[in-house]
Amino acid sequence: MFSATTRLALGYSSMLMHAFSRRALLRVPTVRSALMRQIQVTGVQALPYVLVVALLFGAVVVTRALELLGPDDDTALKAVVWGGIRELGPLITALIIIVRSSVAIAAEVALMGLRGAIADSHWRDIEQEEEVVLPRVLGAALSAAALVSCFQFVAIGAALVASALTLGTAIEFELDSFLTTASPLQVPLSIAKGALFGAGIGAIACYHGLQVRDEVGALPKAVVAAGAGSLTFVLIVDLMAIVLLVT
Amino acid sequence: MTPRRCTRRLRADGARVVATATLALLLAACGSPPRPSQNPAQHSASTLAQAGARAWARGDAAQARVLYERALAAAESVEDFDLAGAMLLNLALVQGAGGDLAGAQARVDRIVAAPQRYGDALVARAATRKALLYLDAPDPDAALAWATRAQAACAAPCALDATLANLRAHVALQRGDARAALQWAAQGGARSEDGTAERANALRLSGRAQRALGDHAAAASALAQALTIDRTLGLSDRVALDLVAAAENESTRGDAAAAREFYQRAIDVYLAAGNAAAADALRPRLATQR
Amino acid sequence: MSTGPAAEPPRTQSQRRQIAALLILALLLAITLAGGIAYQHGALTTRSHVYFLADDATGLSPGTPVRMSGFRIGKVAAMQLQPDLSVKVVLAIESEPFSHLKTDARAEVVREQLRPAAIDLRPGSDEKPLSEDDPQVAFRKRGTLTEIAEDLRTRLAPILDDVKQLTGTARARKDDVDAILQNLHALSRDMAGTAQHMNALTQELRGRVERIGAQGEGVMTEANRSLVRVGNLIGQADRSLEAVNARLPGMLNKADSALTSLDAVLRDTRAISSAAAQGVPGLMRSAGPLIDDSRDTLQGMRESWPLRSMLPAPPPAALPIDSHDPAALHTSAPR
Repeated sequence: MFSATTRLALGYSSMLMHAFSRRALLRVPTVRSALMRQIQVTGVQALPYVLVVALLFGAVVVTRALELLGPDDDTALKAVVWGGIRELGPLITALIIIVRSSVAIAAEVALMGLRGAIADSHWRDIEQEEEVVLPRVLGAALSAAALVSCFQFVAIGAALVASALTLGTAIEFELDSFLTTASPLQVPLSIAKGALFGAGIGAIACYHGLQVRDEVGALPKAVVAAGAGSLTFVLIVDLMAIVLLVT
Repeated sequence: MTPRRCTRRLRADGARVVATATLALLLAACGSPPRPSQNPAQHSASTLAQAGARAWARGDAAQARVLYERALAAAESVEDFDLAGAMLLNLALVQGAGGDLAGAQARVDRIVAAPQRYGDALVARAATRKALLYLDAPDPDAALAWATRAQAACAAPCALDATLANLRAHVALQRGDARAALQWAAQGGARSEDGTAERANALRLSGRAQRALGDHAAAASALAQALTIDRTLGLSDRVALDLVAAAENESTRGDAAAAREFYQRAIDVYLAAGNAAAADALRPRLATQR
Repeated sequence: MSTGPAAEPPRTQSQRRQIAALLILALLLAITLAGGIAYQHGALTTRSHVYFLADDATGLSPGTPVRMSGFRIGKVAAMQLQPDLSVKVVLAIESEPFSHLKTDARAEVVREQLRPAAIDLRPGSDEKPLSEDDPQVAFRKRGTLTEIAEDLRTRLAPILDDVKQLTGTARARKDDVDAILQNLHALSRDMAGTAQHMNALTQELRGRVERIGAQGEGVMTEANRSLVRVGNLIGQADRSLEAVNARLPGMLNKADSALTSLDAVLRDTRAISSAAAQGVPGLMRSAGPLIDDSRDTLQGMRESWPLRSMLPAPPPAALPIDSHDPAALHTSAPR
């Protein structure tokens, strides 16, 4: 098991490394169109869903926090709300991407292999390989970053309104309080974390999709592995980020 | 002497005798009944008592006291307890009026301490005098207690009923119980004779009680009747008291002009009677009516 | 034959527009959010720095808010430990409030229960503004409730112990204290009475002194007048004496003859008085019975008719008892 985990980690890392090292292929129109397509599927089409979840999330976090802490503990409330949104925003966005795009990417790449679009001999063709991985990894990363930005903004707005309505204060007061409590670096850090999540999800999905050669029965396994791997990756990275921030 | 001249002379003599006898009979008939015989001490005591009364009436308290003390000595020298008791009571009044309450009480206590000598009537008068002296102490509770004793010792019909009822009315007024005061004053008026000073006292107390109860019209009527009696009796200090009570009644009723009039009349009466201190005491109250 | 690049299908164009919109929207939202937070933290405003030296910077850390008149104007930018172990705390505040600071400005650490520490900057009232070259302000640490309570406890504990000891002693000696208090009470009563007497005496003395003074003045005036009169009298007496000296011899001769006549008169008078001395006592002794007889006669006449009805009846021996005899009923005081 340890060797399997190591193998997976090495495989994921190789995907990322190759995508990064072959970034010059973005000049190729087919690669760019694949990138556009990926952003369209992973980002644009997921945006309404993400916005709704963000809206609900912002309101739910506030109401639950008030229920637990009470309206008088203002400082703790602010810490929980904004900390929650800051930490959970990228995570929830990543989960949405995992649910929608990770399995889709893995399945698409697997089907491409099964249908012969990606021949075994083509795996050695650098061009073909990066035509599959680069647009998907980069597209997922950009989509995740954009979605995290939108999620945070909407969630924070929903939390401000929910706080104002629940505590009976003015929205301006809540906004002022949030802006005072928040740190400017938190926005780019959250977006960067989202981009890392997206890149990781894309790489993992591509890796497992590419493992499918000619057995149809391997496709479901690849899809499940892609989802599980993406989830694991996201959680581990989030944990590491928390540890790094604390230390 | 001729027989005719002798007959005329006899007729003239007879007429003179008849006239003389008639005159003697008339004088005898109109003469005062034979007085009970008084020994010289008693006679002296009576005379001195009358002189003392005249001195008291004209306001000479010092002379009155001297005369009464001589009368007391004369009465006691022959154990005339009735006269001695009367002198003791007179001295109690004179000394009490002069502010010597202790001396006045001592005089009265001599009667109260020896009822077998002085008799119930004198004891009742002594108890009444004691109750009146306690009003000046002031000890209204003791006054009422002695009034009760006086009532018990006084055989019916008691000549002191009106005095005792008026005393109780005064105490009730002092304690703010106007209704009880009115009842006692009514009793005092009913048990006193018309035109007497005690009747005037009862009317005065009724007027004060009715003013306290807010019945100003009835108060004014009662005080006017008291004033009439006191004027008739010539008691200038009582006349002034009636006028002051009437002024208070008018002042309470809100008629400042009438109150001012009564106050001024009272001041004039006091000044005419030589009581400048009482007149001065009334001037501030007159001034407040402006 | 090569043709120009084919026009993108509409679907592709729409896709590109959507992607562009997403990315631009995300970028704008991120810039808005980050920019707002940065603005709130003063990143886009000019900042001034002030500092203070504190012995103990417990509760302070970079980022601790700085307030003036209740408004947040900055935060703690840095904290540096000095060689003398004091702490230099640098505050980054907005430039506009900095201009209100005077040389006697001071910073206070406010640390209320359950609330994070904050620094309250008081501008001061001096005329001179705070120097920009050396923007140091005074520092005062306002104790928390716990510290104040501890301080009070430290101060009050010995006092309470003393009070406990004193009350114990007082309780043990309660009887003595009661006796002392009673004596003091009696003494104060006596002193009050004495004071009243003294007051009365003083007033009386004052009155007497005034009277004496007035009388003294009058006496002096009278004395002056008397002296003048005496002077006049002395002058008159002097003139009279001269006249008397002239007339005295003749008067003496006349007096001699008058004395001789007077002597004869006195002899006659002596004879008369000796005769009267024998007759007057008898006369006086008979006057008493005469007066008594006269009185009895008058009394009898007074009691006989018709004089009896003309004269007023003698007053009774016993004075009547009247309910208004007491002086209490005679007072015309308000009732």
